[in-house]
Amino acid sequence: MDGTKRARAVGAASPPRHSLLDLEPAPESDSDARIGRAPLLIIGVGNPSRGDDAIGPLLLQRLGDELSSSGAGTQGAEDQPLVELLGAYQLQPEHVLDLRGRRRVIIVDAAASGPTPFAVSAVTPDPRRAFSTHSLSPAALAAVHQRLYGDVPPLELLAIRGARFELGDPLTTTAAANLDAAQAWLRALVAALAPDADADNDKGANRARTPREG
Amino acid sequence: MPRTLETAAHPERLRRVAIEPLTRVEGHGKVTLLLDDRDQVRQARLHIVEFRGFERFIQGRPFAELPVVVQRLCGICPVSHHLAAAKACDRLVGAVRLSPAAERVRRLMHFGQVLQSHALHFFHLASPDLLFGFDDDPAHRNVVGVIHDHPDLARRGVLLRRYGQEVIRVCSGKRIHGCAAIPGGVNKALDNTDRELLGADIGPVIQWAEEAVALMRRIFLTGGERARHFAAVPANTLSLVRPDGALELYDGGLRARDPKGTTIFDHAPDQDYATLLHEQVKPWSYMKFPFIAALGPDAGWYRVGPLARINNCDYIDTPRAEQARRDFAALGDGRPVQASLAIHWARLIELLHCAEAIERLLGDPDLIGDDLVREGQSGSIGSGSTGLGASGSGSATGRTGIGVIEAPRGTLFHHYEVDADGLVTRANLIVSTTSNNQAMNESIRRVAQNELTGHALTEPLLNQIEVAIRAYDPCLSCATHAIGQMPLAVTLARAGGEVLDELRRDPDGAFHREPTGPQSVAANGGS
Repeated sequence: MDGTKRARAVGAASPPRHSLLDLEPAPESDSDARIGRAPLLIIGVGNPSRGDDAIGPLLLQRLGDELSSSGAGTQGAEDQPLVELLGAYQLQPEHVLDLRGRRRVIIVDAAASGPTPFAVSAVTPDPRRAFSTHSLSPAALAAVHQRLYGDVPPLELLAIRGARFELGDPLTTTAAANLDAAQAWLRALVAALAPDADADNDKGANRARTPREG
Repeated sequence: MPRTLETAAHPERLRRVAIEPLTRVEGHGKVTLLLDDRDQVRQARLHIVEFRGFERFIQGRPFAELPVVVQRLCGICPVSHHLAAAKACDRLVGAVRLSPAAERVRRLMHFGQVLQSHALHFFHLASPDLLFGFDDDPAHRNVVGVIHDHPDLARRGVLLRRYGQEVIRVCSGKRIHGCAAIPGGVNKALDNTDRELLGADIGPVIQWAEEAVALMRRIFLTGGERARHFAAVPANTLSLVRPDGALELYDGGLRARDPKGTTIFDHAPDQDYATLLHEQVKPWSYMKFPFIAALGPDAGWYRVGPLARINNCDYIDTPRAEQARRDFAALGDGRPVQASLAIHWARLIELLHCAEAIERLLGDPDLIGDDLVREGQSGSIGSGSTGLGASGSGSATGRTGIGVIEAPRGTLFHHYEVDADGLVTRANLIVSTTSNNQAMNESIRRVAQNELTGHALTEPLLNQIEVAIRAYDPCLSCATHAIGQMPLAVTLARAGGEVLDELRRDPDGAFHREPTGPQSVAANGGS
C-alpha cells in the first residue's frame, strides 16, 4: 500500500541510518536486530483502482488495521516488530532491498487464474523476463536477490483469485469472499508469530496453508 | 519510408503473424505481420485492442481529488500523472504561479521520478538486449544475466532506482500513492534532515549516471551502421522547452520540429495544445494517433520522449548533461538524431541531468520554506464564477484546467472541464505512449522490412520487433498485473486461417512452442 503502512506495522522501531546506496547484505547472524527489520515481510501488490487488482492493497490495509488495534505483530517490552507491511503497484528490482535480512517473505497478489479462494506456493528463483513489462515476477525478484546476495529468504506467493480488473471497477463479490478467506489465513499466520504462540504453530498458519500450497 | 506497410493491397492472400498481447496499460496490445508466400512482409501494425477508459474513471469526481486519483492510472509514472493533474488544478483555482518552495518541491519530486524511471528502463529492460545482443539466449538475456556478467552495473541500476524512489518518498511522504502536490502548491515542506538524507548520496548518483551515459555511447558507437539504422524513422519531434530554449521537464512552451530540424512551432502556450495537435482514429486500434494539426494526419505524426527532448532543446542547464548532449548532437551532424537505439542514449543523458538538477535543488535555499500553497487570484469554483484566471490563451474559457508536463516517456497532457460544483464533466488525457503510437508503428515496419523479410520467423527475429517497441518504453504494463495474465503469443497462419506454428511467451517469461492442432485463426487482414 504505502509508506504509512510500513510505519504502522513496525511500530516505534526505527532502523539506523544507512546510505541509500548501500547494497551490502547484512550479516547472517542477528541480522534482524542489526538492521531493525521485522522477520516477516508481507508485500501487497496491486492497483487499488483496478477492480480485483485491489486485493493485495486491501488485504494489506485490513491486516494493518488489525495489527494496530490488537497489538499483534510485535514482541518484547519495546514492541520489537515481527511483521512489516509494504505496498507496491508491482514488483521492481529495488524490492530486493526490502527482502534482505528477512526470515520469511509473503507476496500477496491478485490472480487471474488458479485455485479459489487462494493458493500459497513457494517461490523459486527464475530469471526469465516477461515481454516489455515494467515489473518483475516474484520468481525473477527471487533470482535477482539470489544473484546479488547468494541466497533467497523463504519466499511465498499468496495468489488470491480475482475476476475483473478494469479501471474503476469495484471489487467483485467473488474476490471479496476470496479476500476474506485469505485474510483469515494471514491472521492466523501472524498470530502464530508471537513468542507464546510457538507451540501452536502447527495448529495455525502452517496447517491452514498446507491444503492450498501450489 | 515503410508507410506502405500500414495497409496491404490484398491482405486476404497473406499469412498472418500475431504477437499478442503485449501487456496491459493503454489497453492490450499486439503486433500483426502479414507475410506473402515468399515470407515478404506486406503489412505490419502495432494494435491496441482494448479501450482503456481513463475518462470514465475520472468523470464525476471533485477536481481537488484529481492529483491523487490519477496516480492510479499508472504504476510506473504515477508522479507524472500526479503533477500534470496538479498543474491543471492550479489553473482551476487560479493559482498558476506557485510559491518558490512549492515549485521546487514539485520539481525535485519530478526529477526523482524521471531518474528512477529512466534507471529502471535502462538497467532492467534495455540493458540485456544492448549488452548481450538481440539474439542472445533468452535464458541469459535478462536482468539476472546482467547481474551475473556485469554485477557493478546491475547493482547501480537497483540503487539508482532506490535513490529516485527516496526522492519521491521524501517529497510526498510515501513511496507510492503520495499526495505531495495539491491545487495551488504542495502539501509538505522539506527540512534540512531531508536535504541531508538525499544530499549524502547524490555524488555517487551523478557519477554512476555519467558512467551510464558513457557506456551507452560506447554501445551505440560500437554498433556502427546497424545501431544507426535499426528501427530508425524520420519523425517530427515535440517537447516542452524553457523560454530560453533549455531542456525543460516540468513547465514550458511547446516546440515542434520536422525531421530536418526546421521549427514547426516554438514556445507555443501549452494551454493551446488542442489547436496545435489533433487526434486521428484508425479502425484497427483503440489507441488514437495524434498529429501536428498544421501538417495533417499523414505528415504530422511525431515522436515525444527523451530523443525528442534532447533533439529539440538548445542546451541543458546542467554542465555534465550539456557536455553529453553536445557529444550526442554531433551524431546528427546538424539534424535531429533519428535512430531508435539512440533513444536509450538520450534517456541516459536525461538521467544525468536529473541527478545534477537534484543536487542543485538540494542546495537551493528556496527548497525549504513554509509558504506552500497560493490562493487563487480570480474566480472560484462553486460560486458560479467562470473566470479561472488561467494565463494561457486557449483555456481561459471557463472551468477548464490544462496541465502539461514532460513525463519520462514524453509529453503528457491532462485536460479537465469542471462544472460549477467543481465536479469533472470531461477529461482528455494524451499520454506519451499515445503520442508515440505512429512512431512505434513506423519503427516496427522498419524492422519488419529490414530484418524480417525473407527470413523464417525465429525468437531472435521477433525479439527485434520487441526491441524496437521497447526503445520507446511504452507504458503498457501499469494497469493490472494480476498473476496469470499477459502471455505473448506469436501465431503463424495461412491466409485461410490454418495455424502453422505458434510460439508463446508466458507471463513468467518462459518461451515455448505450442503444439499445433486442428485449430484456426481468422486471416484478419483488416484487423
